[in-house]
Amino acid sequence: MPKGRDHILGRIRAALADRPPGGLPEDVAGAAVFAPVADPLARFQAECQANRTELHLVTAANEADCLTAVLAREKEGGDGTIYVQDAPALRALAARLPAATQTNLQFAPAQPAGIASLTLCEALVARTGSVLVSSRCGGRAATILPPTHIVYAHASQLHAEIDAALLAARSQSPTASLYSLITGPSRTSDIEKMLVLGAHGPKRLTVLLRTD
Amino acid sequence: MSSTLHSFEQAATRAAHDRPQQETVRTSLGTYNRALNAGRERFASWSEARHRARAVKADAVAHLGEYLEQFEARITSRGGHVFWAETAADARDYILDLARRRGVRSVIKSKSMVSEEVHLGAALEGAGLEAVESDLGEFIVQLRNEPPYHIVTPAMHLRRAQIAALFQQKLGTPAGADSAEDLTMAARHYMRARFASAGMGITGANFLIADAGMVAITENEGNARLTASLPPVHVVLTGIEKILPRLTDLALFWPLLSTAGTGQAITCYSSLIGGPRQPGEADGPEEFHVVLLDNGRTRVLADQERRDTLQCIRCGACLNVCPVFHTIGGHAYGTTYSGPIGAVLTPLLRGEKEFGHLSFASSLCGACTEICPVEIDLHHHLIENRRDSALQHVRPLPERIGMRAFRWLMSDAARYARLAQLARHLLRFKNAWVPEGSPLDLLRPWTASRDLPEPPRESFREWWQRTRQERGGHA
Repeated sequence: MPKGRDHILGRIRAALADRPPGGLPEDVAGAAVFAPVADPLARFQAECQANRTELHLVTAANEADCLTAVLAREKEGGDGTIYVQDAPALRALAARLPAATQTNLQFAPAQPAGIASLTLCEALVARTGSVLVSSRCGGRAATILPPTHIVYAHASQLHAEIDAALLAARSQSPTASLYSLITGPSRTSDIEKMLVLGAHGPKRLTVLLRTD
Repeated sequence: MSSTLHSFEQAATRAAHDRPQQETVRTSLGTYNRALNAGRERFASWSEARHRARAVKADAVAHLGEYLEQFEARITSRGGHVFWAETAADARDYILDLARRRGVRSVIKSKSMVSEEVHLGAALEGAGLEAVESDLGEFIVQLRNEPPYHIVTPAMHLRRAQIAALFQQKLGTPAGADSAEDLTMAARHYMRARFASAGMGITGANFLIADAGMVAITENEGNARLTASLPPVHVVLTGIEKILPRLTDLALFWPLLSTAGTGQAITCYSSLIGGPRQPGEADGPEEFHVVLLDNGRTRVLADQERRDTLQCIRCGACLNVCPVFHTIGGHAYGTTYSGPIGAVLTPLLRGEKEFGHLSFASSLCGACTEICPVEIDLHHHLIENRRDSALQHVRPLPERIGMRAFRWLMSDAARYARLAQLARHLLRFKNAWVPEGSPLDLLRPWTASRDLPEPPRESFREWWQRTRQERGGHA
């Protein structure tokens, strides 16, 4: 029904015939609004702690052990498998897990969700302690449906600010249909303003951050 | 008297005497206030943040047509559809047609005030579709068959025990499971099956990003992410004014919205969605539709004086600080948007005739204007609405007589002095001789709930004239 489009745009044009002058400010979230982040890694660590993201700083030497320990705690959920995003780095990491670990490279939302998902991310944001994922990080459901979401990231992906992270994600994955800036596990305060973690999304968010 | 005014007066009076509910709301708002104050400390300058946000939204509104076309072109290029709905009925019909075409039986919704505005829930039910609200607060008020109490915190007025009883009755949760955690998990469990079986997911939008051609959705629970991920069709229902020019503007607007809305540094999920599942993606909906609603917004755009109300980002902060909202709550307004922004916007969107009275239900204290993160001059807009109301309507006869008498009285200094003196004497006489509350006490309707101080023996004017000589005769 293009009629509605023409009518609305026509009314907008008529309404704005007297458009006031004025421009768009540059750098809207600059130093005058937010004090610059001095040490991104330290800030990221502090913010993760505040928003209940479980952060592990790892190296090539100990990342498999760390992941094994994280997964050992996960008891809840479905058929016990771990969904692993089909990416070379994650395949290699999953291959180093104990033999009994069931991994699955095909994520089917209709199936029981398994105990956790392991995905990459597009970027990290120090200011808010957030993880920026896209639909290219194993799909849309992989980063929201399982009870635990484990993110494998590298320190070089850490940005001080949200806008830099968004621009990085867009240049890495320009055709992604979804980006999501995740800050801590899912939560709600809808009942008497009391905080409960794990409303509809993951109850735990774990970041393995490679620093080497 | 219009029926909306009559029901507003009744509901407001009832709510003003509902102490338990006020207690619940005030406790919730106390928590909000502490979080808000801590949240503002995270900005180097909160006022600079507001100032820049206003400038960005003012630009977005001033170039609304260009930005919407830019947004539409990018959505379309990814295989998404954009529908321009002139009225609430257009929006409802489009969504119902789409549901019919896709053979949808059940719909999962995440929070959208625009869907309340167009009464989508009732339309879906009327068409025989099951429509479930997935946001916890929305779900609770849906089970109670109520509209949301507050645009950000829909179940703010309910105590935990009431919600526990509701879940026991409607969802069959066990009697002991009444902690906030138990109740949240019961809703999570109930909703999982609905997410998986829904044929259509409907969300709102917080921002429409023109340069990226993406819809920004802010939430804490993850229900909007699931709504946009699992069903085969995703519909975004939103107002045309939600435009932001640039992706990078979110570096300001995401923290600003969550600080003003809940005091959080940023909400848990700040997502951007630009289309259906793209080639090479593991999952996502087959169809993606954005319904852009006018429904009176272009009329507000044409009003230079009140155009800035389209800058509103629906954070709810003006409700949270409003003494009127604190007293009468969210339901008494009888409108989708309540509190100061509702009192300003509803007469503009839905007509002064039916909703003009809302602009009068305010003490004009200005707390709303002071908190607004995009610097909308809310309380002055209430005055402008009142002016329009007065110009358009014949006011009630007693009010007209009263205002005429007032003009006559105030236009002559000597007359005012004489009559004020007479009034003072009459009042003193009444206080001395007429027992309070007796049939002769004509001021009883006023003094029943208010104190009227004893008038002084001498007015300031009389005192001034008497002591003038003592001061040397210079006035």
